[in-house]
Amino acid sequence: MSIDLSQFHQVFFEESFEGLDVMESELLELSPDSVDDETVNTIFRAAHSIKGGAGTFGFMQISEFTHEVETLLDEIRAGQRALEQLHVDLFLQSVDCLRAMMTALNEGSEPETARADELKLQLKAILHGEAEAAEGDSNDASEATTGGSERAGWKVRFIPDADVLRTGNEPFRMFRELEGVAPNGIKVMVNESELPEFANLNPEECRLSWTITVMGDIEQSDIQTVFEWVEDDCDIDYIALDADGQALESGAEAKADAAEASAEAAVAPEPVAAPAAVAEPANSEAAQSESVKVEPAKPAAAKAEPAKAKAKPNRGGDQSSIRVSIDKVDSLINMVGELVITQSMLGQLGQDFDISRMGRLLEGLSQLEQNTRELQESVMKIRMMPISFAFSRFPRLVRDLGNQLGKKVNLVMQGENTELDKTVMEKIGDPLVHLVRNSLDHGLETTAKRIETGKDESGTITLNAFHQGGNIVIEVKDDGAGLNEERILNKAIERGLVAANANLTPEEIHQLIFLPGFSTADQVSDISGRGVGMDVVRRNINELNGTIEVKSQKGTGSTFVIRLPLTLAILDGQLVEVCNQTYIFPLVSIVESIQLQKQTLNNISGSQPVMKLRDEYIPIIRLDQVFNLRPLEEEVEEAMLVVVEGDNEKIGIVVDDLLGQQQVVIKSLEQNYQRVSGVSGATILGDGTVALIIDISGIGKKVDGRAAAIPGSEQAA
Amino acid sequence: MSQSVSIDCGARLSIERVEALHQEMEQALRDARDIELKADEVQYCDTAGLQLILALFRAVESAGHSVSWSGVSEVVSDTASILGMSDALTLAQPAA
Repeated sequence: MSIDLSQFHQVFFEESFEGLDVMESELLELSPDSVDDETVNTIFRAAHSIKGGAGTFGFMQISEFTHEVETLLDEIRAGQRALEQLHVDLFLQSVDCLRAMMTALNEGSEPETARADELKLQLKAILHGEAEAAEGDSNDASEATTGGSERAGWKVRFIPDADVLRTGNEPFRMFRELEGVAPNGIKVMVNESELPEFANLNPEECRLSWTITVMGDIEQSDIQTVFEWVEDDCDIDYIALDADGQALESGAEAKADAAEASAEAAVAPEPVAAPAAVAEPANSEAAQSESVKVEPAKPAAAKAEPAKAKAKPNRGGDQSSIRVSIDKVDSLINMVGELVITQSMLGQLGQDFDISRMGRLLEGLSQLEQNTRELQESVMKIRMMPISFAFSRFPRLVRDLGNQLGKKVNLVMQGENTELDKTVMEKIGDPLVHLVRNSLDHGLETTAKRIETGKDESGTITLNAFHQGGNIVIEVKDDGAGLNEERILNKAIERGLVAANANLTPEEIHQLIFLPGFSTADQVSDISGRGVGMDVVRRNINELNGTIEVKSQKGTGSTFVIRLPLTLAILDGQLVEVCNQTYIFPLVSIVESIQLQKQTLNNISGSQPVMKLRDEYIPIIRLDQVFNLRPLEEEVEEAMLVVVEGDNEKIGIVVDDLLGQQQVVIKSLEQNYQRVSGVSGATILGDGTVALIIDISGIGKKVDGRAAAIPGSEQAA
Repeated sequence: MSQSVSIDCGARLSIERVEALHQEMEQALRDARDIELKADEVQYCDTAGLQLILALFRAVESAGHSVSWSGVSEVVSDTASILGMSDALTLAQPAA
């Protein structure tokens, strides 16, 4: 019997990433001054599960590395070693390293092991002392060298528990199956050394063990598949062999990991020989040259920065999945039940319908509408996840950056249980990270400066999330120095972003930080200001049909307020009519709707019409012309104008009529047709017609002379 | 003590029969010097069955006596081979 274990990889990765998150958050709680046993246990269990799972699925780089982490954790847990800050830092770096390796594996690429090797040495140095670690270094190098040789087979040591025969798990069947998957056959050697005297033999117990040589290049996972039914009832080692039958690398550390993985009970792992203990050392020259190659890959004090996902084809990432609480599923089943009842009632009504039963029909249709709405809400809830998933990365981030910048920072997180759509959550992560980094780097003052200004020496960054209307609001607040309006304005004038004599309100000055390329940082630091500015943050948020604004008070701090729709699947839209066609504007983008007045119209550069709206000029777009619906010469001077805001700039869109407002289900144009500039998607209206949903930012880009929309610009005059 | 005793393995040399066979073999060890195993009618055998035979071989040989086969079915040979026990059970096919 053979089961394709790769189908479980995605679940393994998801669980492991969760495990790493648990390890990270618990490590941040861990203090050498007061070690909480339960915290250490939790970290150990997470590491243990990752190791076991990795062993089961044949990700030996992960399981071998995690083994070292686990061993040190176990010593701390058992009280054999006192926890030091050095250990906590090393564990956190190990979490980063594992996350990077796991990300690479999830994407179907080979993980970088240089960092893991380096951390392994540090862990070994702690576990066995410096001398042995150095020895381990050379062993590791020799292992790495032999690891470069081609694998020609495996040696499997199979030591079943005594009860294995009683459970019907027949070794000969497993060996026969193994013979079937081994490219060049197997060689089986029985070990009878544990066989008792005949008189003392319980013949139903298995007292034999076996060493099986599997010949040919075969994946370890293929061999493990054969033994998967007995992995909890046996000790099993896998050792890769080279063409000469010598051990390439040791799978010994993954020894019975599969069995261990399921046993959550805290069993102290056997001290395991260094990987190279099994490997035949290669010649010393090779070993030395490899150690030179591996060693400088990253300096010992390299920053613990999670590796970014590489731009490689994403194999596993596509199979995104979501964990749903059983309550939500039950509610869904309940709704479907209601729907079926209504459908059956309507069906019955339809069979012998006459006008006297119209009331009953209307009642049924109303019931159907309610069922559908409730079903829609329930389905939407399935995609909802608490924002704590996005917030969970910040304690670590703030801790590391605070240390790096020499600033004392308290992080306060509120509303962590506020739910939002999984897709929105995934996309809001990076902008939030940027905002928090920005607050830490530019917002909070240095400790000395805070003391000087009479503030608490520790700065506070508050992350808050709550629902408001149909939106989720996320606030990133700091109690730092606030935005320096004078410097922002000077910088904007210097860069030609606003006119030199512009008279802007403080709020308008604050908005300037969202203009492309704007940065007031005196020095480009490692924390922020790496060319990714607030304009990118705003663009990302706009792409989610959200908005961002900043409130700031000098000396008190700044608050960035992000408003996002709860889901990307449904949009609150304003239906408009242009040339008998229906289009939809996202309601969130609409500022106001007005009647176009001839006297307020101007032309810049001879072609782009603009309109003076109170104290600013806004460019006018005619949808009929953008989509070639009406001849150019036709005037629309008295038409209806919908003023919308995208990318923080207002534009006026000429429409023939305003229709109703309604929630629409967004259908991707890209998936069903192709990407169309100025259109973000489509929807099917109640009458069955298709309406295009306007991409406000995209349509705005069609406007020439964007400067006209910048506050204070006089180009339009 | 007789010179030799024959033990018939029957149609199944497997876990459900090993307890009974174990007792029979213990008796044979007490009663005889050499043991002859009749296994030509074995239709099914498993690890428990062959482990028992292996233990018998060791017991007889350590007493300075011998075990021989009066007949071996293909099933027994194949199972012993896949379990790596052919040599120990003197069932290895001579090289062609």
